[in-house]
Amino acid sequence: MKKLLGLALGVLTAIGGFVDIGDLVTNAVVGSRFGLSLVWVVLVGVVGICLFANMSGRVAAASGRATFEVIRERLGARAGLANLGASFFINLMTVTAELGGIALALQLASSVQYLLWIPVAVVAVWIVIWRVRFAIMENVAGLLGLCLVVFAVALFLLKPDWANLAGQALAPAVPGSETGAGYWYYAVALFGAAMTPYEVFFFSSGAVEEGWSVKDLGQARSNVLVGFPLGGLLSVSIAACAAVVLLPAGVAVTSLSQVVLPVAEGGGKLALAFVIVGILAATFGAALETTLSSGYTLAQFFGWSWGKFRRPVQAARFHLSMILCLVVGVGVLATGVDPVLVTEYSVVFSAIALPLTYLPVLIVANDPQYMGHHVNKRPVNVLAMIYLVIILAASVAAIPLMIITGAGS
Amino acid sequence: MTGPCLLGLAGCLLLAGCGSGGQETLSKAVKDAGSAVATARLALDLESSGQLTSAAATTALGDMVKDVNSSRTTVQDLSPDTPESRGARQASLDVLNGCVTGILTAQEAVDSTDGSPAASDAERMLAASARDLDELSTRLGAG
Repeated sequence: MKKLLGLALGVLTAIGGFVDIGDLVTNAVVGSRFGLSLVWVVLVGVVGICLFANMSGRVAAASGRATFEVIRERLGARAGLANLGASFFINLMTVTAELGGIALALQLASSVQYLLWIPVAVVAVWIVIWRVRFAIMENVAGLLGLCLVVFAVALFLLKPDWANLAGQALAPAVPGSETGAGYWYYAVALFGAAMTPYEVFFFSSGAVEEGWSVKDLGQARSNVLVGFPLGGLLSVSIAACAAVVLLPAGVAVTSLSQVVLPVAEGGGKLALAFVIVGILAATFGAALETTLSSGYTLAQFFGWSWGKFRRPVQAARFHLSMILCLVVGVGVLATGVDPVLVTEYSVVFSAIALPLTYLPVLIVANDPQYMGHHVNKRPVNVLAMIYLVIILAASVAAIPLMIITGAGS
Repeated sequence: MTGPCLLGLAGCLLLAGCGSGGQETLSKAVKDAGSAVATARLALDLESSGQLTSAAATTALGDMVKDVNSSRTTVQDLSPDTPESRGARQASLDVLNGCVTGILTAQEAVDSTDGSPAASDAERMLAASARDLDELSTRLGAG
């Protein structure tokens, strides 16, 4: 019974923790401009993140060490540095976006300017990272993030034309008001949002934090293979709500306040309360994860003592690096830059950096020296190679598409 | 000068004098403003019917003011080189100014404790702005 509850908790946490500010904004933007014609990208992204998060968790469980530590040791300092440079830069952008997301959610609840909420957000994130146990932190944020299920509930309450939605999803086409380049730009952005590198590093470092061994591989697999796809359904619900309410009204999403309007139309103020709590939990949880991921990657590259299972005094540089990341994030937001814009750029840059993140994971997961008999099986490698081609294509196409479309505008 | 006359003049001027780059910028600004006005109407409607909190409505309306102001700045920054394109830019700015006024009125209606301005007045202004934007957009498309 206890094992079953643990399994359910893990899956629920994975669902609630799947969506972050990147998924929220990108799916709503895409839904409001392209309807459900890009749902296939969410599907491709979810399969990809399941594949590599599962691989990364297996590396951590089999070797007892976080993926990045193993990459640094197995591939050497230069390859490790390329991986660190790419993932750390994206992490920092994502930390900034998530802090902005927390502040924007608080503004939606209070109408107090989001800039005034940023110091509150950053102090709250820092206190939780400093004081709260890893399991509690992860479970509370993940479970509260489940409030985002209200997007799916609102979709039913809106009584959409299901046949029309299914038609958009199953026979994707570029709407007349949009360009082909814009369509592919947002395909890359959605893919980047689903496969954000921090998720993989957080997943494997979290496995070490929680002391996983090969005995826990079953639960880890179910968390990923059940939780992430259900989280992906949340992403699709966000896009569908926007497609049903905002697209016909001629609204193209540019701010978080527009994302919640379909939910209010479908379910009124109660649904609105749920969605604000959900957004707050999702962005807060992701701010914790990205801040920790920044600390994990730096500490694991430089060989510092790391982990929340250690007291801060025993992992001083790990904690100091996270504080510096938070300060940088606040500094960027203090310039007045639009957090939604930072989010949009972060998911595209995430797509650019994907090969540097996922190729090393694949190499390490095939090394029997670290993995023993838990190395990748042939079908996993075949699928991973297909994904590396997709990842490479997305990475190469991202910047030209960004220039051609003026960043999707 | 009345709204329709202004729009008619804008259309003629656009057809006559706007370069394609400037016209693209104007079209984009009008499209973005149209999205902002539609959002404002939706937020006002939901708030009036008790489905949206005033905090969320105020936030949405504030965001839309920023969006239209951003479009307005883009249009202002155009460097028209003929009297016709200068007139076209001015006509577009007038329509965008009307949008800002409409959204600000909606924000005042949401925040108001004494019912003034009324939400219905704000809705009328936003509907007029939406019509002006539609006409301007059609003329820009024709140009």
